[in-house]
Amino acid sequence: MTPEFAAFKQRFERARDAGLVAAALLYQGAVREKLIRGYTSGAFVTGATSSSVQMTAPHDDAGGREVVVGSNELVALYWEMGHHNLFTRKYERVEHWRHALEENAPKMLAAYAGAFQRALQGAA
Amino acid sequence: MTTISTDRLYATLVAGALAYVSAGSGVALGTSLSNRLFRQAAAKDAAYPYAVFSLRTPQLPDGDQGLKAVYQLEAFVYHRPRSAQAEAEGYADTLASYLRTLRDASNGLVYATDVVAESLPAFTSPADSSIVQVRITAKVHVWPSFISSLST
Repeated sequence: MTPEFAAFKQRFERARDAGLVAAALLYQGAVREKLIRGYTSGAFVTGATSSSVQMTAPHDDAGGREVVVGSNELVALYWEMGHHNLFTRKYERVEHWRHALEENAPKMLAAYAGAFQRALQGAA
Repeated sequence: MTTISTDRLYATLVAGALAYVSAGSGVALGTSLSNRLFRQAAAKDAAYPYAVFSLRTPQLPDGDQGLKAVYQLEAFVYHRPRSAQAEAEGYADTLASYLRTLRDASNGLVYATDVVAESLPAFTSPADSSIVQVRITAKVHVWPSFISSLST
């Protein structure tokens, strides 16, 4: 590996991670914004589910490089996947995560591209 | 199989899944579920076990000239009580097998990829913890009917 290629590779990897983080931050913010209003009337919102939305650092996975945005609050899983609610006595499902992803996919792509470009063109 | 509308696609997928017999069982899924395989949402007070199919997020991926539609298929198998976990997983496996082997070119072309079946953990209050939920997801690829009519 030539020194020039090694330098480019390092800069490319940094740019890729910058792009992933930019896209993930946008998604994390979009999900938090939806969750702050709660899943139904908003009457029982404490903010815990919204603030539980976290993102990992960029890392390698079987499918390639990734950043994972998620929550360890099980209540979010109940609502997103649907559940039979003991109090309302009916099936309940409200999807915020999927909708946030679909609504923001173009912005996330743009955020990735912008951050990637800036990092690639930045100082070595 | 027809690809003329989402409605016809649903009808065909539901009929195909109900008629599907997994290897070695000799019993059609429709018999096991008493034909309780619903579109989008279950009937009110549906008896257990039952399953629900939904086709979501239809997209026209880049690179196929806008000809092919890709749907995200999501299915759930519901059963109760929790001791029925293994039985529910068996139905989910059958649904997954049906999707993995789905290849229909009778009118257009329909097939599925990325089929995954996964049990959800036991929920706690406010959710009813006695209900077992197994989720099946797949990508359903749909080419329009003129593809096959042009080839005849």
